[in-house]
Amino acid sequence: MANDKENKNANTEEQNQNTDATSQQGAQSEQGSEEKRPRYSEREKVEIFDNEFLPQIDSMYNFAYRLTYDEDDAKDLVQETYLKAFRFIDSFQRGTNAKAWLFRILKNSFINDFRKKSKQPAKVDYQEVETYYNSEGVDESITTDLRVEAVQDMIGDEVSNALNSLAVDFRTVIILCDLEGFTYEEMAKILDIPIGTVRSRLHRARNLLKDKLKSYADSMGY
Amino acid sequence: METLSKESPHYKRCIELLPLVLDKEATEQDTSYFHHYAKNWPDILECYEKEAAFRLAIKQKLGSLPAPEELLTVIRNRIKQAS
Repeated sequence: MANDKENKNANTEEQNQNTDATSQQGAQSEQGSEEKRPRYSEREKVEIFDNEFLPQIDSMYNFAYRLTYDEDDAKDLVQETYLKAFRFIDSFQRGTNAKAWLFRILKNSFINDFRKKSKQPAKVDYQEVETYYNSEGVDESITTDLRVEAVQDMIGDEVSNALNSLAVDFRTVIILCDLEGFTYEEMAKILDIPIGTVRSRLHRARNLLKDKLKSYADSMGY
Repeated sequence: METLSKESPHYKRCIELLPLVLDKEATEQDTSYFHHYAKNWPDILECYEKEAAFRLAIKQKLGSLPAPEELLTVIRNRIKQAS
């Protein structure tokens, strides 16, 4: 019950953030709109992109996947983030923390654009499904195998499932801190929240994760 | 080692520093202070070890997923088109 309440609180907080955010916020506001922005030549842009942005691709994909839990969605989100980063590259200051800058764009893209799309109901081509199941080549064992794989994933990936069951705000702080090793200060900038909120959210997120894992262990008879 | 009173100001300070030390957010001085005094209280040490193990387990269990190989090429192509 307490966990549900905490998750709901996180969702409300998240919705409030969504109201104010824009999809380009992360890229544009990083250096402040009133500051004189550096102008890069085309060659410099490519250098920054290749040397500072692209080396972060694994971390970016990892973050995107942990947010979306879908490989294709994660790829789309990373592509979208890199395109935005290139478009707003003049607001990035060379030599500053490129990884944090990119993560902030990715997080804002996820909240503002991506989650809206994912809330739309999935479209199914029923004609295609019917054709497939009426064809002679259907292997019945496929469905069985899929079930077995799903169960194996549940057993082997309990931490992942527990993390995924957390509200996105709680999930995000654990990913940023424990997987990506960002400092509280960097997390505060990426998430647009005070450092005190980072600390308290992280504390609550870890407690929720422990509860989820304890419930899992209990259900498995440990 | 003899356990000191929990009324000690060092106990309170160690409790405050515990999460910061675990998340590597404490200064070098505070980290040394913590490790110097925390050994006086088994409950703090136990909590430190459990929490450190929990963080390590999360990192090891979740690991890191490398980006698919084709993603880099796709991004480069899209940037070329956009520029």
